[in-house]
Amino acid sequence: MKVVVCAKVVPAVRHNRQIDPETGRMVRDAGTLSELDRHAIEEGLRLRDRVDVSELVIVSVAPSASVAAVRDALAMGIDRAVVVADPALAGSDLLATGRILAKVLEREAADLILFGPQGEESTGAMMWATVAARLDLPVLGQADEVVVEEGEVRVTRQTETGYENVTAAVPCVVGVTGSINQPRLVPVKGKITARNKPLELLDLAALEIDPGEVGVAGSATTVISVGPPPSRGEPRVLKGEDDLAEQIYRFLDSKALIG
Amino acid sequence: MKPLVYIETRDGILSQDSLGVLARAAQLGEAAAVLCGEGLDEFAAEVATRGASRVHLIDSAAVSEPLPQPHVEAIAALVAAEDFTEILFSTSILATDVAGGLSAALEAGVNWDLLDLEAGDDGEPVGRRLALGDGVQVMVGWRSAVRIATFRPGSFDPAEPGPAAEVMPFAAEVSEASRRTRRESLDDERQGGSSLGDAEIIVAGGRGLGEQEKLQMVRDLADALGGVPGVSMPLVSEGWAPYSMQVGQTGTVVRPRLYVACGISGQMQHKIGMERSGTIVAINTDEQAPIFRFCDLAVVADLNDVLPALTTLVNERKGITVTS
Repeated sequence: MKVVVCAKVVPAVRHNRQIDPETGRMVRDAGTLSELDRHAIEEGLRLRDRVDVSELVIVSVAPSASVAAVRDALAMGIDRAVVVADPALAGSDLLATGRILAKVLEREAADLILFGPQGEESTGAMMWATVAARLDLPVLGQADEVVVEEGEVRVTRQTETGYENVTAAVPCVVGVTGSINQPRLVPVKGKITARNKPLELLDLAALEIDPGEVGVAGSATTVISVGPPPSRGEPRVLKGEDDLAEQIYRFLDSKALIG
Repeated sequence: MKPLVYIETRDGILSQDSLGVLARAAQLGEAAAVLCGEGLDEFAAEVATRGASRVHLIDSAAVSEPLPQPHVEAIAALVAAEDFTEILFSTSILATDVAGGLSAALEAGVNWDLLDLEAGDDGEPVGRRLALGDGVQVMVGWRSAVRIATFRPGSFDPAEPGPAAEVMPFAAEVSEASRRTRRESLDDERQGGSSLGDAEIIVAGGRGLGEQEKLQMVRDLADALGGVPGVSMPLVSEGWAPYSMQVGQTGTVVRPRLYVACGISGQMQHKIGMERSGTIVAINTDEQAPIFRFCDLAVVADLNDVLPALTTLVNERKGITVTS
């Protein structure tokens, strides 16, 4: 079984992120592998212990400066990397990025495509669904456990009301949760072997994608303006007083929240 | 605008948050609603009184399960048949997968996690959302013929019942290809619907509790206040509490009258899940915790000192003495 993990490279500096006032886009640095997507990488690696995985590939749409970050996945144990990098990709939204990913995934023809849990600010947790729809594959999201048996993938899916089992035959797309596993650290030794593992850098021409289909031109959403957020106002602060419980009680009582 | 609002039902419950989105869409003009499922006549009749200009009912075994692909195919057909220009959702696990699938099926742009939608000067829809850890407010638009939006749960209240609109059955063909996924619910100890969504008072514990046993302090205060206990995501990841207790963007988004956050730092995904609560009390030893920036009462203290004492006070003044 061939497994492909889709992973993002995110800004290494989590705090002090900025939006470019000109473009309305996030200002990015060379980045690091998304902490969330490491759960998908880890699940791919663990699958290899349970079933016969012929090849484990990471696919990432990222600036070429991010290649070092993608190599970390190879250091963790992934066999091969495909990075799509092209200046024309800047500003791609969900629709545009999904188009590119689908194109690469079509080329890879994997039996199982894994996505990590998605952060709220990148793609609204919709990437696995939109890619699956483009590839016309079943999608099993929110997987808290993945079992592969006789050509079928069964996931235990987290929902708002509990858990359920959802099953589909391969090929299919699976999106995992952040609690499915504890991703391993990048081993120092692995960093050395990772240098000799294949990493393919593709541009749009190699994928036969028209630049008009991606980047700002190929995106269907726009940022109109950026401004300050609404505020809740300053809180009342209680600190160091010896009758804290009494004071909290009075605060709640004054707002008719007790009884 | 010609919006269609996806009304979610699950396990016999009609999503109040999706009715809220319908109410908002109805304020902007005529808004239709769509329900997918089997035997949903009663729900469709109810939705028809909640601001919809009409209700499209896709009643079929093919869409009976809360699985995305059949819903995507059925709704894509409805949108094409009726020329809807907007498809609006209240964010949920299912709605997110349906919206993502529809974006590819209809080449429709998606703006997610919106707090509001309005008509811009040119009559085109404009969404309002927060970004960068809610540090900035962003107004967003669309360039596609069909526009998809998902809204933070709790963004709008449902409309009061009014005159009933027409319920129109829509016969959608759902291909075998969309039905390759099977679902069975699990009957085990992790099951059980979250009562968080409807709770008026929530007392939630986070990593600051230090150990699993201390979660009892949170449960005790919740009991005393007549509320429901909750937890932040790390406690679920650690296996201290079931997912159904998780407050946050990836758990349950709540909007109680009172939210007491105990030892919760206030990471982004938690903030999204509770910031619309009426009154927020935060207790944390770390004065720099982000949660102190979006609460009404900030208590800088050790939970072990405050929680049992507060629980005792509340119980005593209710006339209940707890012997321990």
